[in-house]
Amino acid sequence: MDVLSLKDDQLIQEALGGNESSFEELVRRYKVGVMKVVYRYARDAHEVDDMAQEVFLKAYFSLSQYRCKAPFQHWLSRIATRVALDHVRWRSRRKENFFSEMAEEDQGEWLEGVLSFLSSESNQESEVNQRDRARLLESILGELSPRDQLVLKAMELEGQTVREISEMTGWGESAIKVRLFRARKKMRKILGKRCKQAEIPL
Amino acid sequence: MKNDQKEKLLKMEETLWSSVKKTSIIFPEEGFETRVMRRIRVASGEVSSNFLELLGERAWRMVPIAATFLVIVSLLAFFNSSQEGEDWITLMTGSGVHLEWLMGEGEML
Repeated sequence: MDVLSLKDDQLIQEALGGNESSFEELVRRYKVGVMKVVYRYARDAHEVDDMAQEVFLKAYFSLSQYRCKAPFQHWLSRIATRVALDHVRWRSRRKENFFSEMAEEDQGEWLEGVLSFLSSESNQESEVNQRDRARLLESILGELSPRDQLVLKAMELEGQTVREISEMTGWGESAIKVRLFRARKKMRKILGKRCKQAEIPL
Repeated sequence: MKNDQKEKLLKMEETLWSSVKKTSIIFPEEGFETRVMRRIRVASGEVSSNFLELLGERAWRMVPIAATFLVIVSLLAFFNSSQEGEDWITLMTGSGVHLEWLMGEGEML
């Protein structure tokens, strides 16, 4: 049987009947989509790989619960979002990020460097300060709740709409809007606190 | 917080997000489907995840590392022996046993 020519629904039926190559074909078709959901929550390529594997593992064992009403991609995205959220929760508990792992006496100096660049008008690009800015953002987001992090990243980095986030997470649209508003406010407050810590005038 | 402070923070926030948007996606290496299916089989209990089995599958990856290691050790031993005038095979084995017999009587490398 040529799995390449089968539609998603047929592949799912085949996989439910125990045909492994059908599920393997589904993995091949949707791996990039799943990785796109999880990669913003991962630190490196290995974490992306691991989280994406987890998504397909969960999908395989709950395949019988999939109702063909919505596209398979949407169903997978929901699983990917739950896996990403679990990962963010796990990391929040461990409080692991570049900034928190840095010695306290070095934090001020590092912050001063990144924040003075951010507040300057002549934002001259370089790979190093781009990496530092990503680290700063990660450390700020690390102080927000996992759900706040998820909606902010989906909106700001993926450019998703409130409706898309709602479909992906299963949360109500108005709840997402409120969460976004509060998360942005919290983020600004933390950024202000960091500026104060680095003695950057606002 | 004053309005101008708020604006400055907003601008900084925007720059922060935009700098991260530019980072590219690093997709994992090939063989993803195989790894997923393997995990599924392990989770289903079809395949045991025992260490020796994994080692067997991955042993071939160790070959280049082992070969490189041997070449480096040989070179080090060879250069060392040429400085001290010793038999490099003896140095390499480190056993202290003279391997002169391997090369024929009285013949040294």
